[in-house]
Amino acid sequence: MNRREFLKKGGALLVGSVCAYNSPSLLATACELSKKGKKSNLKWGMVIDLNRCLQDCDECIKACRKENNITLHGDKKRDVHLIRKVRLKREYPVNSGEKSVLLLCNHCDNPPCAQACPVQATYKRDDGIVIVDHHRCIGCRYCMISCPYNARYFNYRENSKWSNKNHPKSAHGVPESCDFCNHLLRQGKKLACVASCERIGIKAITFGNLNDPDSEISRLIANNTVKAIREDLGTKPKVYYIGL
Amino acid sequence: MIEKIFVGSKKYWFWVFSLMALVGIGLCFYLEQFQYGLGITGMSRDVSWGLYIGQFTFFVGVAASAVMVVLPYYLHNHKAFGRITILGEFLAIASVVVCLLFILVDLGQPARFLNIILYPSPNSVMFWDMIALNGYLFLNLLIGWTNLSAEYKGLSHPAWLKPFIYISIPWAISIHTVTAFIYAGLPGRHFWLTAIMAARFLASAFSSGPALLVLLALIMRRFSKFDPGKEAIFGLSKIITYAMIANVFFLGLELFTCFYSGIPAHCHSFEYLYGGGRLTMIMWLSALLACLSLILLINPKTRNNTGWLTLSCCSVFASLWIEKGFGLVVGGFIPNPLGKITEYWPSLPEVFIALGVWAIGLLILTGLYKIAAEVKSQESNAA
Repeated sequence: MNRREFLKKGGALLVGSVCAYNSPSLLATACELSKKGKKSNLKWGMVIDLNRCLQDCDECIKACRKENNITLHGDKKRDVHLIRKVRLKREYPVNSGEKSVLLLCNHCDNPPCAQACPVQATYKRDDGIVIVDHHRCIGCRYCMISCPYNARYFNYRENSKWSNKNHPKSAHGVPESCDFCNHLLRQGKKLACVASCERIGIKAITFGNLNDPDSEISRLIANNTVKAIREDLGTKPKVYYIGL
Repeated sequence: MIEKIFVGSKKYWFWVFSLMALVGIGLCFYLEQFQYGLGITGMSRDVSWGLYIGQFTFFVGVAASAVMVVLPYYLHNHKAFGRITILGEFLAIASVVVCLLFILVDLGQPARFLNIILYPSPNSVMFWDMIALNGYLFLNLLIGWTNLSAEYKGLSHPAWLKPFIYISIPWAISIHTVTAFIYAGLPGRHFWLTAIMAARFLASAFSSGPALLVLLALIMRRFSKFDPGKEAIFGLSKIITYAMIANVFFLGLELFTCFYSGIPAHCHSFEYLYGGGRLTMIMWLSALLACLSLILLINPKTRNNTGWLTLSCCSVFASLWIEKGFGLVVGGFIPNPLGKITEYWPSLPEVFIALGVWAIGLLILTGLYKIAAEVKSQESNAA
């Protein structure tokens, strides 16, 4: 076999094996896409009562950072916040002034980030939580860009602090967003932000199963006027606000 | 044929080694970025794509523009493009490599880049862009190389190549359309969320790419024995003219929709870009260069004069390099969805890494053009 032949045959073999290797997973993805919303009796969601939330309190933000090993580098443009407070201008002149609003990943039922991910590292679980696989992610940041809520952050540098040894800390080069403290949820514990808010007696954040009509969250939604942010985009967010 | 890149004049080697030096510097900065993270760039939470992806977008256009010589030559048998076509195809190869490298340096976890093949995701536009770009690279390598080796042996291109040539024409359109879709399909990014995005991309590609090709052809004429022919160069200049007119027209359409409707979210990015932000100066420079190039290109007297044509090609290229290679990507992020302005400017390491990537592209281009020039001049000597 001469060099030319070797290159030709080798190339063909390589292309062939990549195609053969990929066809089952491509087929699986196609099947997954054609399935319409699997039924699950769990659908996690959150209600934030802005009338209860204290304007200058940041207990939940601190608790979240500690639980999830997020380092603050003092770099405002790049620091990661899984939950954060922003001051939004009120829309109507009657209510002039600003209001501080807690923002986090909305765990959209129709998540643009999961659609954008080129490696399926970001996906929506059957219980509705939108999560990123930090070990598969290639760090292209397309998920951040596709999120209309700016809820995704990127680890532009290593997280130096490792306060909670029960939970891994992320390397640089992968995105970060709220995962409803998935690791605590699995153990039947309360989310860090919810627990901290309850601890100081405010109880502005309620977390629960939206599919259960008797859950506290479902009752809150039924008995109050709730709003989600930018529902017009069709993302179907699952974080609802009272008093927005 | 490949042996031809190893023999050359002193000037040639000086050029090659200067490029290699740039690649080396870029590589050092890249290692730093690999170690520390993308925090050494100017990018931030709000502006999460910067110079790298801007340049990627721009060079996809340059790559796609090869179709502007391939189509007239192979479909319409436009003989004048016979000698310049190989330059177009080779420019496409170098540009696609530059695109892929810009993606690679932009990744936060570059070691995992093969995951895109391991976990194919037909739901993501980026996955399709990967397929489109690699397919295009393959097509141009196949077509360019086969053609040239046939010429080397004094034959015309083999018949089996024809289908690949025909496929490469719509494929070129597809690479830039899919790249536009990366931007145009995102909810909540109003600057990009426009149906004319792909058309704008193609128009800017078909003006900036051929403009670069004209400049390269003029350089080739000066520094090598290979002459692509006056007719080809002035033929291309007409293509550049029409494409540039379309490009400016499309931008006008965009401005009308935004400002006549007056919907705030649609105006914000334009107001930021042209009305007082960090990028305002260069955006206006781009606009001025676009006007200048149009004046010079539309007037047949200046268009058909090599000196003026060089100036207009430079201004087309510079104008679109700023507008598409920088403003279009960065502008889409500012202001952020909450209306806050976070400025972006590339950091020094970022610029050096980008320079390194360009140098790799130029090295590939130099090598390919060297081979093409030698083979072609050999052929004309024999004739």
